[in-house]
Amino acid sequence: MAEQTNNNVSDHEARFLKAFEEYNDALFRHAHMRISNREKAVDLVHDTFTKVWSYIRDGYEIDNFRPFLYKVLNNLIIDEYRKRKEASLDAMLEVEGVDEGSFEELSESTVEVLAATIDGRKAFELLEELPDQYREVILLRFVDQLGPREISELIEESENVISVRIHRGLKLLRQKIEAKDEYAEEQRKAKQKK
Amino acid sequence: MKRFSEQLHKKAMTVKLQAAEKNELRERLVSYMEYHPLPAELKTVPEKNTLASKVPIFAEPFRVVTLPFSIIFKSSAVAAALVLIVIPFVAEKAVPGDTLYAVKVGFNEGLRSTLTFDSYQKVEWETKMLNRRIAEVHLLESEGRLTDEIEAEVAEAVKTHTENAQREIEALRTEDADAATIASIAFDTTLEVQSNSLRNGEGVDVVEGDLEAFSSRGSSLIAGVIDKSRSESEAKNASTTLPSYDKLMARVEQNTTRIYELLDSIKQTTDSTQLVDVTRRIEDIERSIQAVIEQSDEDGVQARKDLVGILQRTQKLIVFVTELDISNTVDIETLVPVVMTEAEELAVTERMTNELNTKLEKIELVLATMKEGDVKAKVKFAVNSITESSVKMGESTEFTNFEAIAKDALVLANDTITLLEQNKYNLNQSIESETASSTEAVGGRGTTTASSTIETPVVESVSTERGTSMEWE
Repeated sequence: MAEQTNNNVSDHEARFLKAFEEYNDALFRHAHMRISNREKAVDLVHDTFTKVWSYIRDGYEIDNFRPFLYKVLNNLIIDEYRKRKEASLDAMLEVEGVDEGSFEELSESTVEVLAATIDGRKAFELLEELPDQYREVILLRFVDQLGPREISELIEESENVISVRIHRGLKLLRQKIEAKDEYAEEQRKAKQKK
Repeated sequence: MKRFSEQLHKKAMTVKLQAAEKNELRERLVSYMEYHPLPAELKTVPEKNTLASKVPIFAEPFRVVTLPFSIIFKSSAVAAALVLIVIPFVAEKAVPGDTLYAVKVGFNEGLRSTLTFDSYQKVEWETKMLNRRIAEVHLLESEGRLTDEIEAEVAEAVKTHTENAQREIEALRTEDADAATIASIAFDTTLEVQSNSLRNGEGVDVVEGDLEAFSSRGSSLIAGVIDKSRSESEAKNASTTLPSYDKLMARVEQNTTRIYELLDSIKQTTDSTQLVDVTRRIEDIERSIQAVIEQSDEDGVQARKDLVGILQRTQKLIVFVTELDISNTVDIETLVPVVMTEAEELAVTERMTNELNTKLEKIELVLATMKEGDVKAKVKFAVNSITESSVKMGESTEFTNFEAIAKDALVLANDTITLLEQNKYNLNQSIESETASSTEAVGGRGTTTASSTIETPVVESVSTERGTSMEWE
């Protein structure tokens, strides 16, 4: 009996540590790209794992660590935003509302077409400038490579809302890239004139 | 998209924990785990699921089901429309045995019953439902789908409706005796018409074949129920007084208005002979009303009685026009006989008298040439009776009275002629010279039945075409 309990405990510990090894990078990346602060991102990853550990201590069984970890991290990031009060999260959420989105925005293929026109490397630089609402879904979709359903479960919005946000986020990114390109072009011309 | 997502992903992959950061993080975590070891009770819990089943919500915190509200609202609106509008609408056409029949009886009719508050309207509605039940039986019968079960069911439903109606009439009686009486007149009339139609259908069905003969049992079962409640309600109404003149008149006027409306609505779809039929009845009713109005000053009670009669006629006419099945099974003449104007009565009187006289002359001519014997004695007796009758006919002032005597006399005359023909007496030879001057009725129908010979020309034309014109679409 004693051996069995030991087994159980070490089993839990082993699974938990394995999850840490597996996901610490991904979680850190997500956190870092969301809040653009390296130290804070590390702290958030740490807090995520301690929170999950507390759950396990309370006796909750975790079948699949990945979504659970993302969920906790996402909540912590939202808390972080609230603390910072850079922008009212509520106001940000209200902007979107339960918009159903147009047909175009709901279609996966138009997302692909749209994405094909965007330079990923430039997009990476400009992600920071996007409202978090869009940054969140674009990161989850293209960096963390979660499916629409997983994202929908994670941030508790319908898949339609997710699609619309991705679509609009990408559009915004493209606009920003184009604006930046134009700006760079003007700079270059100005230099040439000189 | 591949390019974009690959590029983005690749770029993102450069963001990662440095080895030192990772080690530090792991150490922090491990020490946290050491300070917060797993509790003892968890250790005793065997693997998986036991806890999960105790706290299912927290055990799988990511099975968050997001409800797409817009879709739910839309689909529930569609579902509600389906349940509240489409299904009841379709159910209206259901007959016993159909899936939607329960919706028709339970929901549609239940709803209308609930929305009817006035006792008088309730009686009307119960009557309507009764008509519907019987119409269903007719429909099933015509499709050969009527089973014992259904017929018992419908008989039960008919019984319930009549009982309900009678109860409402009783309830109404405590408030407004006149209205109750009028309601019960209307209700009884409907019962009478329905019972007529069911019985008529029976006769036809038996002739038509086994299937219909079988189904006619259903009709008779239901007809039995109706007759029973008719006799009950008649017994109840026997003690009641006549409703007041004004109320009766108001009701009659309502009914006539209703009939005119109905007539308008069927004008497009019904063929002309049927319309002529109905129009004729309306004219009759209008004339009767006029007569009652004239009479009301002199004899109030008689006027009221007459009005009750008119009310019944209007009611029958309404049922006849509204209930398709009835017009298919029952003759309008049996329901609402034609009431003749004085001119028409005069014409009929003249025609019958002429006919009788012609026949009498014929018989007498032959009688003069006959040898003594049984036949002669019979013919002689007949001639005497006919002569007596014709005297009475001349004396009688009431048309109905005259009509009855004339009919009898004509039957007797016809029988006598048949008897003579059977005994090889040639009737025509002796009266050939007279045929030209006699009325056309004689030439055509020496042996037709008395009832058809007295019909007015209008009705005759209708009755000959009736076979093809019964469809009221």
